[in-house]
Amino acid sequence: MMKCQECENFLEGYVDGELEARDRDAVGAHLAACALCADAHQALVSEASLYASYERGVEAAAPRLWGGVEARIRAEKTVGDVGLLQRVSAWFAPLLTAPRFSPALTAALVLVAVLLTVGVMKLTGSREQPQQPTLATNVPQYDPNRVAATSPTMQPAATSTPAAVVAPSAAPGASPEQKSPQPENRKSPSDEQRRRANELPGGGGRVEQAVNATPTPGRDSKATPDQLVREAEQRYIAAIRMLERDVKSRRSLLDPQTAARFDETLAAIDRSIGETRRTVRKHGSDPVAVQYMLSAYAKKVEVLREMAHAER
Amino acid sequence: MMERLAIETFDAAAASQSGARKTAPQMSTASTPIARARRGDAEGFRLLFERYSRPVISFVFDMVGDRALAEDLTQETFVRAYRHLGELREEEKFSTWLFSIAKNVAREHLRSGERRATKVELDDESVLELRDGRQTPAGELLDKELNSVVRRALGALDEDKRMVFALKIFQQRSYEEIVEITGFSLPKVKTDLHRARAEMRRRIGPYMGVKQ
Repeated sequence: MMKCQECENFLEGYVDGELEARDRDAVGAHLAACALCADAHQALVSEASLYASYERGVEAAAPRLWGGVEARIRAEKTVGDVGLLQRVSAWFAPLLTAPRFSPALTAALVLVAVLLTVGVMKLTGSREQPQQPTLATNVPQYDPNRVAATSPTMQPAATSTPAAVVAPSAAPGASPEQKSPQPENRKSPSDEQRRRANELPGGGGRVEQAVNATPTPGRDSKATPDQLVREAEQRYIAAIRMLERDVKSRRSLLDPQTAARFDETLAAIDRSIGETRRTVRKHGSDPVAVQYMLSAYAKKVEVLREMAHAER
Repeated sequence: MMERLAIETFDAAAASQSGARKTAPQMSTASTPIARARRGDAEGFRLLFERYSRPVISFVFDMVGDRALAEDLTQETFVRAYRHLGELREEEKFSTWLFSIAKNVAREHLRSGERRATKVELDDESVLELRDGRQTPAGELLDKELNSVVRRALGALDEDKRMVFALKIFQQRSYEEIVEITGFSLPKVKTDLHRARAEMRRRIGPYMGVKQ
């Protein structure tokens, strides 16, 4: 037979329906035989009854809150975009890992990609040619082996970005005399200072400058498509680096869950970039792979921009 | 109690309240509002809101003690739930998951410094008005006064005890569910619940005609 002290310990669990069958039966038997414990049990039951009648007066307001919830959900454009980006990246990643395209599709895509690339490059070159006529000698040679060996993902690639690719747009006033003696891939202190000054928050348009940096005259006529692609890639990397700094400084302002969602999306895009870069390195002349790679970079720029402007 | 019953019905869990919940047949997964909402069906999410908004706002109100604030935080809870619906692994645990979001939202607010939990003293004026030596049976208390006393007594509990008490007594959650919602250990849930009951009894007992 259970003792009163033991019964008391079990009583709340008994009322809450949380006891094992054996304990429940023992408590029930004790309550049937002990008036004191039965009173205590009855008191708990009375309390439960009282609490069950508690009314806050707020429940009736619940249905009319839907309008606000619905409006906020519709305004969740960022989340929707992020979801879309995830779907897009998930969509084209398998295409790149597919063993082969059909010959007809491949030929068509190659033709379209080549025409687009040449057209855009010519248009860009003819528009901006007069602006920076003297920096051609500073364009570094891109070393795909170095990047491939050190950077399967986006971030290492960014760290290997030659500064001179950024510098033409970041420091347009620099003279060729100042720049030409500098060894490739090395930055003078003044170049570095100028570059950093241009990357300070509020340095409006610097991302666009980086992405749309002017192809240098004289180079267009000599550059191979491969070089142009590498240059475009480096510009995206430069823009991404700038945006990442902005995002880092504003990260604390973001809702942690939103920031986590952005991070997930960026990670997915980085994976796509990694895959496309490997494909491009392996099949350097494949314009389809190039298009996908540059699209992935563009998506990363887009998401980082959103992240930099997202509000809590 | 009413909140729990509503949820039980909605989940098609069982006609009876306890025990059957775990063994009850589930709705076709493709047709539940949760499944529909997860597919981006706004109507599915609206149905979820209709079903759960009352218990959620009740719980949030118990935590923050302010009507307008409870409304705002309830909206925030559902917006967050919508954002993260894709992360819900077990549909049958939707309400537990939703309440854990509500708990987070309420706690974040309470800890943000914008508002501190209101604690009522035992000699609070409204309580003293009722405490005139009468041993009024619970059934004879005027509803309005009773609600006021319970609300103030609840507000006097510390945050953890208030949460556990509200989940168990008002939302009829099992200990296991409370552990999942709060992240507390089972012993802490039991201890907090026991102490919360004792504190509530100390404040409300004189008006219930029960032993303290």
